[in-house]
Amino acid sequence: MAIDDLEKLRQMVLADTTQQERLYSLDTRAEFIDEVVLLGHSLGYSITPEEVQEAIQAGVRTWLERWI
Amino acid sequence: MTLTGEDLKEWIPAWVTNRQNDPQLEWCRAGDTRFTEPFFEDTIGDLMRKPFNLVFRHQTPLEILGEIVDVSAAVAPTGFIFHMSRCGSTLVSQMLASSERNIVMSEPTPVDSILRANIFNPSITDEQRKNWLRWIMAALGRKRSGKEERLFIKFDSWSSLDIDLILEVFPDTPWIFLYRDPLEVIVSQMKRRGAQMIPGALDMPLPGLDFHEVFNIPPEEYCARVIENICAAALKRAGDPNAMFLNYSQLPGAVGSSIARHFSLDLSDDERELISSASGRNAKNPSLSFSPDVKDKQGSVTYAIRQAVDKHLANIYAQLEAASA
Repeated sequence: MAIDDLEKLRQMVLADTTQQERLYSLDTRAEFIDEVVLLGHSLGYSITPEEVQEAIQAGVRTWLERWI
Repeated sequence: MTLTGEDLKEWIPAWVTNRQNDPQLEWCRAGDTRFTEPFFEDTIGDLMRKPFNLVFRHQTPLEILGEIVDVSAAVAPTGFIFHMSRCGSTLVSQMLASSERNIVMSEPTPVDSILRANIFNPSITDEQRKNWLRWIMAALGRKRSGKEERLFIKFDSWSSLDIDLILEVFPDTPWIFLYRDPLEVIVSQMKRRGAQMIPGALDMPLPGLDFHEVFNIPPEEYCARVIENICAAALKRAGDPNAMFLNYSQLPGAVGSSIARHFSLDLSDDERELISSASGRNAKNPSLSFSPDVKDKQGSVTYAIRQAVDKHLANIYAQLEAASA
C-alpha cells in the first residue's frame, strides 16, 4: 500500500541525517514534494505528490491542534 | 527505532502531546537555528513552516527522555526569570538572547506542559515532574553551535506557582522575579488578556475561589487574584540568597548591571553592546523601537482596576518593593 511506503520512507529519513539535512533545506512545499516523491521512487517506493501533500496537511493540523 | 542523543543533535523538543495518559515529546528539526524570537513558540512556529517538520518529526515518551539526553553534557541553567506578566520579562530575555553565548528559552511550552502535567493527570507524581523537568532543561540546554555557555529560562508567569518544585530540582540556580506597578500590569491584561487571565483556559485552580465564583467575578478582580497568587508564591522565597526581586522601573539598565552580577555573567564588551542595542527594540515586536508606556498605562487605569489592585495587590506590591530593597 502506498501509505505504507510513505511511512517506510519516513522511518528511513528519520534514521538518516544526510537525507534529513537535504530535505530540511527545502523551503517551498512544491520543491519538497518533488524531492520526497523522487527519493521514494529511487528506493522503490510508490509515493504520489498528493500523498505527500496530505502528509503536510496532517502536519499542519497536528501543529494547530497541539493544545487540544 | 531506538533514539540516541546523537540522533537528536539537530532537533529540539517542541511540544508535548497526549498529556492525559502517556506524555510524548514531539521533536522538530532545528539545525543551527537560535531561539531569538520573543517567545519559544514563535521560533518553533518558524521551524514548523518548513515542510520537512510538518512531515518528519520524532516522538519520544517523556518517561525515557533521561535515557536520550546527556544531562551532564548540556549547559546547566545559569539563571531563571520569573515574573508577574507584562512587566518587562520579555525585554530581559530578548536582551540576553542577543549574545550567541546565551541559550534563552522564553516560556518554553514543553516546560509548561511538564509543570502542569499533574493537572491533566493527577496520578503523575512530583518525582516524575522533577525528573522530566531536569531532562527537558538538559534537552533545551544542549549545545548546537558550540558557542553556547549559558542557559536562561524565562518561565510562564504562572510557573511561579511551581517555584518550589523548580528550585528543588535546581537549588543552585540564581533567579529573578520581575514585577511592575500592578495597575499598569492589569491595564495591559485588560487590553489583551493572557491565557492565565481567562478563567478555565489553563485548568489552573485558583486558591480561595470555587468554580462558580471564578466565572462570576469581574475580569479585573480575576486578573488581580491570579497575579496575587503568582507573586505570593515567589515572595514565600524572598529570603533565598539566589533570589533577586526587580521592579520594571530598573529596566533596561539592570540587565547589564545588577542582573548580570546576580547571574555572575562575565559580559564581554561586544555582548554589552549587543545587549544595549536590544534594549532599544520593542521586546514583543523587535522590528519596532521600544517606547516607554508608563504614562499611557497609568492614564488608562479604570475604577474597577484600581479597586481590584487595592483589594488584592497593594499589600503584595509593598512586599515586592521591600524584597527588592
